[in-house]
Amino acid sequence: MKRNKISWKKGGEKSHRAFTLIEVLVAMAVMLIVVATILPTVSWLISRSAYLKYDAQAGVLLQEGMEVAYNLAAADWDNFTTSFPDGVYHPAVDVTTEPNMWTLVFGPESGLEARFERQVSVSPVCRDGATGGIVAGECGSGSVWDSASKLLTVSIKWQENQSDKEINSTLLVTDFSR
Amino acid sequence: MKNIPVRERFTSNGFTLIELLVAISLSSMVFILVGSFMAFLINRNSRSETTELFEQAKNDLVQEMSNSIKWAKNLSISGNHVVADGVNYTLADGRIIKNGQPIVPDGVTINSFEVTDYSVTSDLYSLQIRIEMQSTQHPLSKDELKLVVSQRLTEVQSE
Repeated sequence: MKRNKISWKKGGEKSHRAFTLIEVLVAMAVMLIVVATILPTVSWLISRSAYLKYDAQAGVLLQEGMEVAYNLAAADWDNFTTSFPDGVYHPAVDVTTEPNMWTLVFGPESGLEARFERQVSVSPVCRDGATGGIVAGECGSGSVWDSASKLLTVSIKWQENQSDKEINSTLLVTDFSR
Repeated sequence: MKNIPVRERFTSNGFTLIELLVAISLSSMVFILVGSFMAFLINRNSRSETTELFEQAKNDLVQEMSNSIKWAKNLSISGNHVVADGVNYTLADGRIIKNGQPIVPDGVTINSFEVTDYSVTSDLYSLQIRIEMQSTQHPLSKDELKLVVSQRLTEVQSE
C-alpha cells in the first residue's frame, strides 16, 4: 500500500483516486443544469392545473349570467324589453325589492373572483320576411326586426399567462305569451 | 504497527478533517437541495389531488343540480332543502344527499348548503346555490361553489 498519496490497490483492481474538489463542483454544476431544465416542465404542469381551475370558474360564471338573463326574460317579456333595451349589462341582485330579485345593471363588470370580466349583451333579432329565419348582419330589404325575440350573449374574459382568454354562450329567447 | 515510525503513522492516506468537513458540507448541500425539491413535489401533488377532488365534486354538483332544477315542473325550497319533481336534495352529515344517496365524492366534506331564491316571478324559480366544501384529509383546503339555476318555461299557455 502506497502511503504518500490518496490511492490504493485492492486485489487486481485498477487504482482509484478520490474525487478532487473541482470534480465534485463540476458534478454539482452538471446536476444543477439538469434540475434547471426539469424545473420549468414541472412548473408548467403545476400552472396547467391552475388554468383548468380558471376554466371551470369561468364556466360557472357564464352559467350564472345566462340563468339570470333567462329568468328575467322568461318571467315578464314586456318588462324585460322595456327595462333592458339592447345593450351590454351584468347580472346583479336588486336589494330594493322584497324579496330580493335578479336584475341587470348597465355595463360590463370586472374583478369577479379577482380575475374575470363578464358581460351580458341583449341584441335584436333580424328575421327574413318570407322564411322567418334569422338573418345575420344588416337587417336590409326583405327582412324585419323581430320584436318578440332577443339574442342573449354572455361572455367571460380573463387573463391567463399574459394571454387573453374568452368564453361565450348565446341563447335565443322568444316571447311565448304572444 | 509497532515497527512503523511515528511520522509515517500520522501521514497515512486517511482523509484529513478538512476533507471530511468539505465532503460532509457538500453532501449535505446536495441532500438539502434534493430533499426540499422532493418535499415540494410531494406537497404539490397532494394539493393538486385535493384541487382535482374539489373540481370533481363541483362538476358533479353543477351537472346534477342544473339538470334537475332547470327541467323541474314542481319545485319547492325551504332552508337547505330543494325538492325538484319529488327528488329531495339536502345537507346531512357533511354530504349533499339526493333521496338518501350522497352525490359528493368521498374526501369532500360539505360545510354549508344555502339556497337563495332570487326569482323575478313566483312561476319560474331562479335559485342561487352556495356550497362550501373542505377536504376531509386536509381540513385547511377549502373551496366554494356558487351556482345559479333558473327553472325553464316548459309549458306554454295560449291566451
